[in-house]
Amino acid sequence: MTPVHDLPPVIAAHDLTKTYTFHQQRAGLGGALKSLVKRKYETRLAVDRVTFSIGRGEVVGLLGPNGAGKTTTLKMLSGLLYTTSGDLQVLDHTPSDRKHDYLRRIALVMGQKTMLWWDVPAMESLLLHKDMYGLSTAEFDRNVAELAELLEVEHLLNVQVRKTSLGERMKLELMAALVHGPEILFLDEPTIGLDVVAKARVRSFLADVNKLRGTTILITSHDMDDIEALCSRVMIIDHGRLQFDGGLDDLVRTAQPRKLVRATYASPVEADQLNGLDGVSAVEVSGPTVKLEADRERAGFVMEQLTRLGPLVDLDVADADIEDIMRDLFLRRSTLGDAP
Amino acid sequence: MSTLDRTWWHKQWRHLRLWRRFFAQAVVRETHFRAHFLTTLLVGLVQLGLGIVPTLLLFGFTAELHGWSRAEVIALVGVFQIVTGLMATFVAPNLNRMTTYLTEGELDGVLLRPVSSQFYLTLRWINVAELTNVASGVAVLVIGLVQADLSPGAGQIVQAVVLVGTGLVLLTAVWSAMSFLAFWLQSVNPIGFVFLNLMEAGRYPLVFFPVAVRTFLTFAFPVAFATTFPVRALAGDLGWGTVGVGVGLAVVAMLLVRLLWRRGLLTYSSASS
Amino acid sequence: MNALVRNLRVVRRMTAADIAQQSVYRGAWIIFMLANICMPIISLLIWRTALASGAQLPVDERYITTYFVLLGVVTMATSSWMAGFLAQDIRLGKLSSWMIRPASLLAGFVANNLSEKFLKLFALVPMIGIVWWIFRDSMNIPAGPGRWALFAISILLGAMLVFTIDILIASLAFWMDDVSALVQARVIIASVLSGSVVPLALMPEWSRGFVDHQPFRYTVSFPVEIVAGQLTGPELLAGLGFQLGYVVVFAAITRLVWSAGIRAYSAVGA
Repeated sequence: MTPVHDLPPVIAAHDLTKTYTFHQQRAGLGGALKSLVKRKYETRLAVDRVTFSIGRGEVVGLLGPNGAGKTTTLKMLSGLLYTTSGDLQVLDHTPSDRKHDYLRRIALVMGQKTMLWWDVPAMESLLLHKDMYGLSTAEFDRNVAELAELLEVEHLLNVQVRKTSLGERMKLELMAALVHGPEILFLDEPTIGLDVVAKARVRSFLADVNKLRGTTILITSHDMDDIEALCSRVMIIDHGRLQFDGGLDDLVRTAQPRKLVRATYASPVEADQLNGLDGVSAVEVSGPTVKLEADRERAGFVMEQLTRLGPLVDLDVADADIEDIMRDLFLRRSTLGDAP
Repeated sequence: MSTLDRTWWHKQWRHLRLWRRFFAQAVVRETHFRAHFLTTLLVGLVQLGLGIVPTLLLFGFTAELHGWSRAEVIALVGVFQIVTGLMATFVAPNLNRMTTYLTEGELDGVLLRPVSSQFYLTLRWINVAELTNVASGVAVLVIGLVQADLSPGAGQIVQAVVLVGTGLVLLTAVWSAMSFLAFWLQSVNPIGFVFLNLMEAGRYPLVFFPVAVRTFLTFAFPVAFATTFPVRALAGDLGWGTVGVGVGLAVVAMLLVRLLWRRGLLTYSSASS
Repeated sequence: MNALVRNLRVVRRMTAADIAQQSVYRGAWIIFMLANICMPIISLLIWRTALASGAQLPVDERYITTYFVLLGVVTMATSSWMAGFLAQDIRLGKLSSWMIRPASLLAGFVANNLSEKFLKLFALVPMIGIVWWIFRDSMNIPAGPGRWALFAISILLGAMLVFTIDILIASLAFWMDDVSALVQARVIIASVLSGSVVPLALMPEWSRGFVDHQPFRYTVSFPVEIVAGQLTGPELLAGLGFQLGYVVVFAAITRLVWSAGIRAYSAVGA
């Protein structure tokens, strides 16, 4: 889905910045006493002048290595953290005011933290949400029925949460987060620890929610499959800065990923001379198979060279994994950054 | 876009409904743990008996102490049991996990809800089984009153109930304030322990303590409002003035705790990572 | 190497390691100890008031004051809190990892007990010092080092007695699913019969024979009485004899029950 630019954005951040101030704890009793009297303060820039806007109904992936500022950004958007400077408007609210009228229009799901209550059936948690979000009985029943059907969890609603499996629990978690019909859903690593089947279930459910309800979704994940399956747009944050913001295809184009080529011949070939060619690298020869990486624009030329080596049995050309693209991007940036 | 609560009253109503749900959920939980119910009941009864032992021994050596007879002190032990029972039911299960809320990041999940986070953190969990101690406390109170030959009128009962209420609010405020230190300190787990041990002073009439300690137990750690004053109200020797002071103090205490909570949240929201 | 010497070394090492580990929580220990002295002080104030307003107690103000000031230290110094943890280890089968070590299982328990007491004393003694100073005019201070030495010996015996009773209760976990109610019952019974709530000297006349000779008196009350009270020479000797006797008897029973439990445990292979 493409951003709807004629509508005002649901999230608008301008020069969003967050610095942490912390004092250094000195070791030992003497150190603790000294810290009481005189503290050494240090600041760390977690998010650095980030600007972006997200339209209603978009599904955006927030990517970046650990400690890059993803979670801090998510926490500022959901109102858990104050911003240090810059403007932030979500649904026409300043999130950190945490106005009840704002909070009831958003939801946050954290893959590592359960928000369901352990000892009681999920239905009890849902009923609690009903009162917490002031839902009418009709509205509540309709939402529960719809979500339970989409997630196929009707049979789990009256089971103690502690007795459900990890995958089932994540479904219930999503259900609890969506029962009040939020307009924006923040997801922090929603598929972490799930098996392949459960991951696929969660993804298709999220896609359905986006389509059926027009829910705006902002998702952080380490699993690139999540991003590829759900997001038409990605934002990459590294060292607190927004490094990239655009479509997934654009990312692939910008990163200029190399083509992965694998050629299989009828009999073993000598391919060492390929190494010297412009735009070719990582040549690997094992018997009749040759593997190499080629620059995008040189791909045609490389194919031509390969056909000259001998009779081909099989030729396979693929784009690099999105995961590799990301690794590449971060690597390139940090080497650039470290250069004097 | 319509707002969540049309008026301030709607907001209070929504919170009240939510609290009712907390209670219903606690009852459901309790039915899953029947052994817990029984142990709580038994331990409560034994502790009640134990709490009366020093009083009985004390009045074995004297018929009356600073104007209090044995029966009146027993009535006071009953009130103490009611108050501690109510605290153990509605407040203790929450404040005892303050450190967990702050260090395990559970507070984040609360802050995202359209409810007062202080309300939620102070009243979310209810230990229904402890209500049995309230019941046994009422029984002891009645026994004490009958033995003391006291038959309080409606006005006196109202005074006593209001005073117990203010006492509860004041004690909860003190305990909350102690727990909210968790925003600035590493761990406040043992603080509940200090609180409960100080509470023990409420087993005895205020006049049994030296004057300096009396002031402490009235204004700093106001357990006097929860036990001594209600019993004196039931005995009919307390004016509405004390009740007024109690209500006033309770309001001030609530405002102060609210302020402390806000300060704490400010630290939390700008420092947590 | 002699097994006893080796075990003692293990205890020493483990105690030191435990202290280092636990001292991280020194702030918590201080708060804990603050809580521990609340009860004795409240009781002290109440009984002094009773005396001041003419109650006819069998003991005087000096006894009451000394008794409650020292009560906190002695209760703590003789306490043991491992029954719950040990019972849990037995039930969850965690004992096995301990059993394969070449040191007595006891060494670990003793080390834990000693290290925590060391840290608690560190926090507690200054507080008791302050309370002592406040009530210094009505404290009984025995002349000569003899009584203090006996006090120390008696505390040591008391600590051993509590420790063995604790292990005895925990070892019932070899056969019982849940000993937590039992642990709680012991704490409640002990608090009355050991003299922690009310000095045993104030117990009614009819209960004297029982109260003076039951084992819990020798866990807390007796050591305090050595300093606070006017125990005569023969009473002192008899008391120490009783204390030693109880330690030996409980140690024997505990040993018996424990090894029977270990046999049952190994047989099941939990």
